[in-house]
Amino acid sequence: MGTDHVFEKIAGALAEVLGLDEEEVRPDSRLVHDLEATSLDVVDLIFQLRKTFGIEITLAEAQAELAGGEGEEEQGFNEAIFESVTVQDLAKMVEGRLAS
Amino acid sequence: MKSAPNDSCMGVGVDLVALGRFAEFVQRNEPYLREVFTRQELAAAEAARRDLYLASRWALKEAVLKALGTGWGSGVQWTDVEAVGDLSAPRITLHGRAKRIADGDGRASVVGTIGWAGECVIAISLIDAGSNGQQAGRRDEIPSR
Repeated sequence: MGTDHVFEKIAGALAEVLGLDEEEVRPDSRLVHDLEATSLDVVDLIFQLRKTFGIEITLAEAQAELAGGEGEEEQGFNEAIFESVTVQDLAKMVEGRLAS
Repeated sequence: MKSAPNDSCMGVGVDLVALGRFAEFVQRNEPYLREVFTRQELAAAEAARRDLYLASRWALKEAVLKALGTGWGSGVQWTDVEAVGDLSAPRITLHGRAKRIADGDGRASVVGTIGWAGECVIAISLIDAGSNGQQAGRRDEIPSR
């Protein structure tokens, strides 16, 4: 599956979860800052990506891949852990899972 | 870091959930709910207004994670915060990494409350990490007396 196709499907999932037009979703859109996703939306989105792409990824794995540091004691507290995650980051995560 | 007079460490968190949006989430993700709610929470919801009960639990989980200072991050998972009991009088239990963060070097007590009106559910949580648990929650420095 090509990168463009992955992005299109992610944009479709984001549009459904967030009630947006797909045209509003760009690769560099940040989930929280630009698309105003809440943590409920992010969890919903990860579940939709599983179904859309048929990939197996737990919430803990997605959290670690997107934000880094699952179980890393030294990471400290981070209340805004997903704020810098972009649609492109999601695409890389999905592509990595599809390739494995 | 300066300490409060009783050397306690408190964190406060609040969260708001729209019932309609949460009902969509539940409808779309029924097979996955056990990944964000514990078995006890899902069982308790069956004896209540299910969407409202689960929405209130979600709001409370968020509030507790904010009080901890982590949000959904740092390896903390949704099922690390369990809230069962009455709809408006939840009993909160921490598990896993959330418990380890809250405990720090001391013993944490966690309380929370829930309210709702129309489409909105609100939850507030307070964590008191005890005498030594200075990892729990963000806090402003309070000058010693």
